[in-house]
Amino acid sequence: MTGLLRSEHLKITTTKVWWVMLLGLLGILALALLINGVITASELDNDFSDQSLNQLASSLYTSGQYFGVLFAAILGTLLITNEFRHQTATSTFLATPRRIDVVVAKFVVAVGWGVLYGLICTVIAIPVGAAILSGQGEESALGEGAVLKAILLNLLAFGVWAILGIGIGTLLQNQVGAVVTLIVAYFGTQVVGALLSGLGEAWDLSWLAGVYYYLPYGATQVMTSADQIADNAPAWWGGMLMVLLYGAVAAFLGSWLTAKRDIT
Amino acid sequence: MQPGVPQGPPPGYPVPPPGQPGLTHQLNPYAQVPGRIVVAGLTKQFKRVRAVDNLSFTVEPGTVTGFLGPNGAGKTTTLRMLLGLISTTAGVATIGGRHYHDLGAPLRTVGAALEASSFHLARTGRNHLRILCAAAGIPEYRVDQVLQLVGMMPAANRKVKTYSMGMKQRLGLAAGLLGDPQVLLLDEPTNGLDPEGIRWMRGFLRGLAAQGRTILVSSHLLAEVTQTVDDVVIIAHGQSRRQGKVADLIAEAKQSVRVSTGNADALLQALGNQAAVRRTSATELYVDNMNSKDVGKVAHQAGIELDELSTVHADLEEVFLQYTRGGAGIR
Repeated sequence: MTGLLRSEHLKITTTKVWWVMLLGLLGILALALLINGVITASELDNDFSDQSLNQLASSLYTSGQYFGVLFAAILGTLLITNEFRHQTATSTFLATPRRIDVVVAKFVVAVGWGVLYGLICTVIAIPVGAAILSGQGEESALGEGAVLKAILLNLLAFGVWAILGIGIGTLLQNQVGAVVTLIVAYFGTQVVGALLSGLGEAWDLSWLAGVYYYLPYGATQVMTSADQIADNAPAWWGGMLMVLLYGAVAAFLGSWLTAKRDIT
Repeated sequence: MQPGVPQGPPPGYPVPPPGQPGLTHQLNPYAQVPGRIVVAGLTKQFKRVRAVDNLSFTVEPGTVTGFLGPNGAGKTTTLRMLLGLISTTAGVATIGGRHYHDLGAPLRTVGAALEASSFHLARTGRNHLRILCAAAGIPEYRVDQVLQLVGMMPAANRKVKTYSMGMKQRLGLAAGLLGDPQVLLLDEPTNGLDPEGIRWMRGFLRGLAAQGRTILVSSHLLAEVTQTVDDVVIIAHGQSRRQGKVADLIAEAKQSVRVSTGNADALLQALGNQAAVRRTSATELYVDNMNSKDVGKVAHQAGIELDELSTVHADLEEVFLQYTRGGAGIR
């Protein structure tokens, strides 16, 4: 298995996609820190702010997550769809006829890379965020359990989204189709969730308004917030369960489809 | 349908179907003979197309077998079933008595070069091989060894997208040789090569054969492989059309005698009714059922002066076409 992990890892490092995406992610992270810094400053100036310091701090420390988990998912998708686009699936499965082993190795390596992306973001976001808070005369809140939990679960989110990416990649096989689907689904589910929230509030249906928090990105937000994100949202562990459930479905579909498909 | 094609489906998976012509015993596909390839009653039904239809053949260890058929005959599908890349509808395909899945270290037993296009274009040739080494547990020094073997060292660190067709074929061959396997399966290795590349590939395959490896090489051209192979398996429409020694196939190629004379009418008369003669021009005759010596004798006895007397071999491709006629391409 170590050989297989090394093989899948080499598949990522021997093309330039990983660092092109990382550069993009760093640019987005800078932007996110800027925006979150402005929000933090205005919230702290506002006496009627409904956000706690913990919540503001965890938002700062998980900056880059919004596009970061999408990038982790795309990296996962590419890891599997490259095999079909460039027909390397043939040599891959010749070297390892037990296809389930290949898929498991892909999941492990993709999760590793997703978490690495998250870690890079976090390592930058923590000192910058702490500096922003101290500039506002506030403590870093890094000793708070809720904040630390948000930071750690943010890393988990990067990993699980990489699995979601592989799941969609195995399902669709077509590289462009899979990446486009991923992006459309990512933003699409958020738009749908926001619409349902609006309808739910208009019709006074709390459960309808809360659907958003059970969709993949909503659940990710629930999981990585320091405070209860909304009354009609599940607790953080509920969000985590939802995210893991999506990951498990993707992993199962991916493994099952890859094992039975003809490689032509 | 030619005689000797195994008739009917196998009595039930995984019992092997009747053997081939000339083989009195039935080959057990699970007999553990290292390096032997057994295909028994192999069938693949894609949605609407029966790509391979009850195909049976054997490749004995240390022999080189040409796997021939027109495009779309089912060669690639057969090779992919042998390699466990696509599922079988019926029948068995084994290497050394085992399914590909059950070979402990498959790349060390079987090497395959299937298509010249199966590389990530943005990756270097060397990295492609390194990835395979890691997955198969083959030490990385083999990468440089096989690159050297196929003459790809100078281009090893260039991206595959800069490679010519011939270079991709060589890289595919290098990948197949990574595990130094006893058995090699090559799918149209000369496809897309220029004459120099074809000559190199032929020589290279002969060298591999001389090392005693079992080689199954597919082609859609008979003449392409006659210099390299011992045996041939000819298929069309996914069915076996002819199997045997390549020498027998060559012998089968029809011979006729070409005669050129100013007195063709007299010669025609002298040859009599027994001779199968085709007249192609005023001065040229083809005699299909006599040898040149006998034709010469008849002419001499009749006092007819001959301008030319020669034996003509029918084209090998003509023989090939006889077996595959109607089995070409688009289904």
